[in-house]
Amino acid sequence: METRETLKHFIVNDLLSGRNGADIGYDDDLLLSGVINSLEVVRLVTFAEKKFKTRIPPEDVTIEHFATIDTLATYLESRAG
Amino acid sequence: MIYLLHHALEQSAERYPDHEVMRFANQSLTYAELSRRSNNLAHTLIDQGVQRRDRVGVFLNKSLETAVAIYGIMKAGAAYVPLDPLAPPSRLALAMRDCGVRHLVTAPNKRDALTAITAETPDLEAIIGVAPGDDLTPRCLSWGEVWDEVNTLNETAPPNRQIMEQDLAYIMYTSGSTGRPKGIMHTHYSGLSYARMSVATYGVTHEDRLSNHSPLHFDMSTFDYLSGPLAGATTVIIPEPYAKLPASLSQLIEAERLTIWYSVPFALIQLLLRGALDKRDLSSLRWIMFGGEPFPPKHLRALMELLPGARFSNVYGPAEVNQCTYYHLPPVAEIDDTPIPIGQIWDNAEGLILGEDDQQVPPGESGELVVRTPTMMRGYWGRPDLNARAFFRRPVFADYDDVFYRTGDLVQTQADGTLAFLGRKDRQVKVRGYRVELDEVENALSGHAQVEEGAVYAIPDEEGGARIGAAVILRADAGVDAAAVIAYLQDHLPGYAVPAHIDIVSEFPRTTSGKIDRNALQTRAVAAAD
Repeated sequence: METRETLKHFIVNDLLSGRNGADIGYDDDLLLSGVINSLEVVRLVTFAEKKFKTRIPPEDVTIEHFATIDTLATYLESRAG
Repeated sequence: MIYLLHHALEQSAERYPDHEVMRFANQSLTYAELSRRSNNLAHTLIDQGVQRRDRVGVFLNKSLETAVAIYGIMKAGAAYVPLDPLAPPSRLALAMRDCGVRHLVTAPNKRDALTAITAETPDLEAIIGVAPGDDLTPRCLSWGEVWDEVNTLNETAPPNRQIMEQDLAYIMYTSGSTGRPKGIMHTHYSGLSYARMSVATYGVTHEDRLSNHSPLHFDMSTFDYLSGPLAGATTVIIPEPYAKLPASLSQLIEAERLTIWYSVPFALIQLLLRGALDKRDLSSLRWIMFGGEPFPPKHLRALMELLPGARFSNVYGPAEVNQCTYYHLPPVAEIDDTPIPIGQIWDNAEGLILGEDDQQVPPGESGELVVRTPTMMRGYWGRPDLNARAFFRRPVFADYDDVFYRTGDLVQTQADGTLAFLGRKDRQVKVRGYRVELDEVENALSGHAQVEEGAVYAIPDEEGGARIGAAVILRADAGVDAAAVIAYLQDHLPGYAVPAHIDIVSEFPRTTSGKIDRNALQTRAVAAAD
């Protein structure tokens, strides 16, 4: 669960910095209009690489992995293992 | 005889009824289906009170309904007004009030925004695409009811409306310099002329598969929605999330076997830098067109090397004329760091380069490009003030003028006859008395190997001149700082043109089409200077 919490904290507090006001659920679509934009995706990649000490190859930065906090956490955990 | 934009759709529907005209996610519409559905919508709109020459709003995210909406509206004899699905409601209401929109085509996911919009648009009578409810005052009709109503009527032929090629087909709103949006009016004549000329220039056929990357309210979308159907081609509408993830976008290009790509350079630079292109087979792409802003040559060369099978073209033309020049890129080995030319005025169009006195400049000198072309707008909706300034008239006979659109862009004819784009006329500033083209500084900045993207803007000073401000996004692995970039510029530009200060940023404010919003950068810098 820790991965999800860390990602959520970064997305809500740093990426969106209070924008959208409310909470973002682990299975909410991050890529819908108005949530995170293309440059914020890049910031999210940089953050995750540093925080989880891994490299995310460009071909893995896809909708499949970045659709929700859940899918991203699952992907990152699979790389840690 | 074909003289209206929807005639082109009907002709292709006769030739290729079962061929796909539009694809979106896992859905598609064939030509026969789009023809029938847009007929249905046209009957519903007329039933709801749409008159010939009305303006009907389109407020939709990327979806197949966008195509049904624009063809349905045109078949009803009205002009479609595409609204930015992500813009603030008050701005949309401003555009709708400006051209008197009484009917709107939309979808249930826009309901919250619609509640805010309708509060500011008292003349809006009917909304197609959402169910009625207490939160919406105008009459509402869901898409289901549109199909049901027409099925009962058993009416599948297009409505019998008298429409002429000089009637308006669409109005696109663009930000004005004062912040008041202005509506660019295009007729069936100018729209169909563009569709015909673009199909001929790029040899589009029914075997082509076109990208639709541009939002509907941005003028590049007319190639995807109007030229594609004229040729019987298939247009693949790219779902919004793909535009944010270049590695998914490149997967989509491969899976959909796209043959023609058309977008702003930004989308292609993202594909180049983060699209994992070396992992994809994009050999289906035969032609890549870009426009809207300059493409830094170093990125373009890198992209061309990754996609050796595709032709590349720089497409130029303000939304007011659709397109008016093209430049087909030479082999990559012949491209150096000078800005990519905008090329030659295309067929059936005339361009002049005028000096400050409205006289043509001597060959080789720079001036404002003015063009006349059948693809030119009628003018700005309800803006006699702008229309008086937008056109240059060349007297030919008594009471007979050739009418040219003033692009506001500075160009220069080069030795090989192609046109070089020097920048916006209003991006020319005086620094300590010297004339500086901000776009030229920006081009030098983008030439730095560690700079991913750069933007340059003017910070007005108290003496009526300006200082030059700049912001850059550095490459992720860049080992340079602002001082190093400034030192690089000092080697490439005259001293007065070098920005005194460069902000290193992680992102730029952008317009909804992906262009860098230089006005926002300038506003930010001016505020910081105060």
